[in-house]
Amino acid sequence: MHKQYFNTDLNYKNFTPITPYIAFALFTVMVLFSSFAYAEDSYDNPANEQYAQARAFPEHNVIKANETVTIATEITLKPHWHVYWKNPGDSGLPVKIKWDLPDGFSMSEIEWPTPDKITYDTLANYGYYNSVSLLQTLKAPESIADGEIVLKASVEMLVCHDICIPEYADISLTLNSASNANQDNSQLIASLKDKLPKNINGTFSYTDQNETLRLSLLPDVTSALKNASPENLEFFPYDWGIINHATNPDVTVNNGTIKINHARGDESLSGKDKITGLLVQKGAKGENKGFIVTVNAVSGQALVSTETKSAAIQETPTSTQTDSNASSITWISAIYLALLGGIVLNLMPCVFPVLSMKTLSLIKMQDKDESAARMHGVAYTAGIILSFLAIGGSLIILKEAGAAIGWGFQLQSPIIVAILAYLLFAIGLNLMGFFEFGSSLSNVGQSLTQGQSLSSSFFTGALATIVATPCTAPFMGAAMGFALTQPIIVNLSVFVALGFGLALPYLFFCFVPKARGILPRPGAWMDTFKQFLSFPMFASAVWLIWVLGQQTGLDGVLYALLGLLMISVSVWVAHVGKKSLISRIALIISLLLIALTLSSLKSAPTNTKAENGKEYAFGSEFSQTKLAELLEGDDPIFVEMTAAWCLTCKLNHAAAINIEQTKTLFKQHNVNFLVGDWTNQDAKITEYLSQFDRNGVPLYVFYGKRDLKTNVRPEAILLPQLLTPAIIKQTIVK
Amino acid sequence: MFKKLSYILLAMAFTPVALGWISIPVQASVEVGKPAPNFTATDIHGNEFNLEDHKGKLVVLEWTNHNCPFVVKHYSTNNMQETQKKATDNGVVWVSIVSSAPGKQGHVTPEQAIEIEERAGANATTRILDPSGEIGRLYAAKTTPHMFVISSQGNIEYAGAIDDNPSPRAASVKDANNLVLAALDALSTGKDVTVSRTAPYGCSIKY
Repeated sequence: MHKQYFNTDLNYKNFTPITPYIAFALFTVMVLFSSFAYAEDSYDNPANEQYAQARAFPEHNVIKANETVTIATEITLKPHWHVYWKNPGDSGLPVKIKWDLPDGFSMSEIEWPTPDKITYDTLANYGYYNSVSLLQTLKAPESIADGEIVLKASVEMLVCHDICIPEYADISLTLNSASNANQDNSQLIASLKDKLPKNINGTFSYTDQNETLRLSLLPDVTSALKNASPENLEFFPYDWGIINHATNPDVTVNNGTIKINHARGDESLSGKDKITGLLVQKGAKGENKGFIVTVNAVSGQALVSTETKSAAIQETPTSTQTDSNASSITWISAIYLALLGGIVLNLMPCVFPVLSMKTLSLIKMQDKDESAARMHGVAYTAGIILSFLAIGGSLIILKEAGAAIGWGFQLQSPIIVAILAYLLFAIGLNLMGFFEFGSSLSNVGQSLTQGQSLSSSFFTGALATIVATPCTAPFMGAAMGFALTQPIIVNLSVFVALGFGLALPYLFFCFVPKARGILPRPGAWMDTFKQFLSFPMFASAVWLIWVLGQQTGLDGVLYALLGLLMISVSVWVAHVGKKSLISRIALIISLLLIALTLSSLKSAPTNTKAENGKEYAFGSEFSQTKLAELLEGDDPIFVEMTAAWCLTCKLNHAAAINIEQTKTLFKQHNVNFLVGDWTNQDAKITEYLSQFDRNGVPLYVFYGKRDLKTNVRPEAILLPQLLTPAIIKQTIVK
Repeated sequence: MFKKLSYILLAMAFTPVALGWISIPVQASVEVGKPAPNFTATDIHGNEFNLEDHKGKLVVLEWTNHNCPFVVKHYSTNNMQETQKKATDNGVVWVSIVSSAPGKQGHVTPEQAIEIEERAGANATTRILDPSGEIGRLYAAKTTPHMFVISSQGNIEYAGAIDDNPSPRAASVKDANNLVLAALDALSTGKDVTVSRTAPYGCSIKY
């Protein structure tokens, strides 16, 4: 025999309200609680203020043997306070009425009016505001003695607002009394009865699958529910734990069949062949209309057999889409998009300074003749377009060679990211005035871009393209994705359009002398402005280092920062050492060290996906198997494809996805959320993107929930590349 | 176009926001028979409490709010204190948790909490203040009191009300079956918990 550790019968010897010990204990508790007086703690003195009043009145004041009379217990509440329905929800207690009846009399259960749903934070309750009348039927015995019949009851109410206060009321009423025999409340009672939930018949069934209660309700007579719409229907179960009260249901109405999917509650449904509750047509506070439905369990717990399910999946290929972004894109619109994208690129923090520098040189050119200005414009444009063609061409060649890459591929290489960061940092230092041009080794790009020759204009264009690449990737997804699936000529034309767009503003100034007139006059401000322009450069470098951190981890960041350090050392050495031999040697050493940091990046460990995934804490990592698995089920799926270097992705995630509203929405609709991270090369994700004719991120795909009637999922929906919470909501709720 | 443009400008402005990404703890599912989600907190005496450290022992989590009439019912009748004593005397780790948010009913400073404990003569092992509601939401705690019993293997074996008499009346304690003690008794003797899930009753937690 084991030892009985826990005696479940507590010792209540001391527990009677009259012992001095308890009196003292109660006193202590009172003192204790009042010592932490809270403004809203008025419940300490319920005697002073009652939030609920109760009274009872009969249908009519006369009852005869074997007859019934309806008794109403009316509870009147102070504004904002509520009492609870028979299923109070996540907290609270239903109103209790304990009748003390003369011998032989009996009282029926309470007939509860339709309650309101009262939500608070993550909790939800069902209850009544203002006033509620609870009807019961009194049945008289076979014989009644003459004289008054006194009915007494104690009403137990938990009255809540921000806080809860138990209140009690003793009520009584007298029947068959000579004094009030003529009193007649039958009209009032009739109108109260009229408002009670009605029984409706029909075919009602439920399944309990995947933590979801799926109700399928086909009422025989739908006239009562004529204004029913998915927005105003809900199911209030009579019992606790059937549904997760705080979540909102997913409702569809189709040919009179009402389907309500509701997240399950904590109570097991096994062995339950039916559940009862109210189908509620929601109205204003206190105006909900309820219909009593008894819902039968569907045997086998499934409306859909597995065979038909998998067949349905085959009918719904994942590559279908209804998006306007990619599928309906044409060559013309791709070129138009690319052109616009190119123009917008001029405002990117990485490009803006380069363009501004170029504009400054234009100011100096104000006095020169027209043809020279035009030639500069053409050279600059040519530099940009040729650079874009070079990048586009190498992308095509790499793809032809079988590399599973897409637009933005250049940023998937930590070394290229680091080189870009170094370049932007160096340009920033230059703009700041830390080094001048003419020093033979530090003029790699700079002297080319500063001179007034046509070749300098050409190289400025190339430089603008190079610094623009980090910014193109996030922005140009749709056009680029289209281009890369097209024949080579179409493909390259999109790149040309993008470059032309980038060149356009400068070209405009070159070709329209009048426009140059609006530019400010040259002056000392140009130097200050030039220095200021270094900050967007540094900011872009900071961002690239962060991207590098995502790709390679802390070690990679260390190497890259050491590289930046060596760049500043080189600049300093070149500056102080003039052109002495020592300074040249030092400079060569620093440059070698910079190269060394780059080669170290190659060996820096590639960050694992798991670490990357941390910031997407509320989704799970994307994989084709996982997606296939989820597609087998019935619940909706939301796929997000993102990358650390993709600013648009980050913005979308922060502004539209990783917010309370969307998370709640996902929860309410049982949306499975998958996140794919394309920061590093990932052939699987590239392949998935290509299913949607995309070759870059961001990509957002929504797979709607399975229609249990037809047993197919709706076509996958491709969301726009710039998301708002409203777009997500529309897509999911639709 | 303008909208797209403004988004891009926003994107640039918010790069630092993107860098300082805030990760939100994942909502664990709390189910009877499943592992109890771990949490670490500082108790009212300033000691660190880590649930996982107590594997091998039975653990009771009690959500409380000293101003909730249902909590008052169980403390004024000494019911809660006696339950705590029976449990802790047998090596159970009893954790009282206050998830009331600042400004809401039941929110207290550690000093006030110590005073409340002492005056009530509580016998809990430790008391944790959870003003952010993080632990409360982790366990989907709904009412005060709301009780969880965790086995020595770290699984939730009971969740719900302290007893089977959901009434605010103090006298109701007398005839109630204490479900927490029943669960502890079953677990400590290697038996299955007969009633492992009930609807918790009481005030809503003031998140």
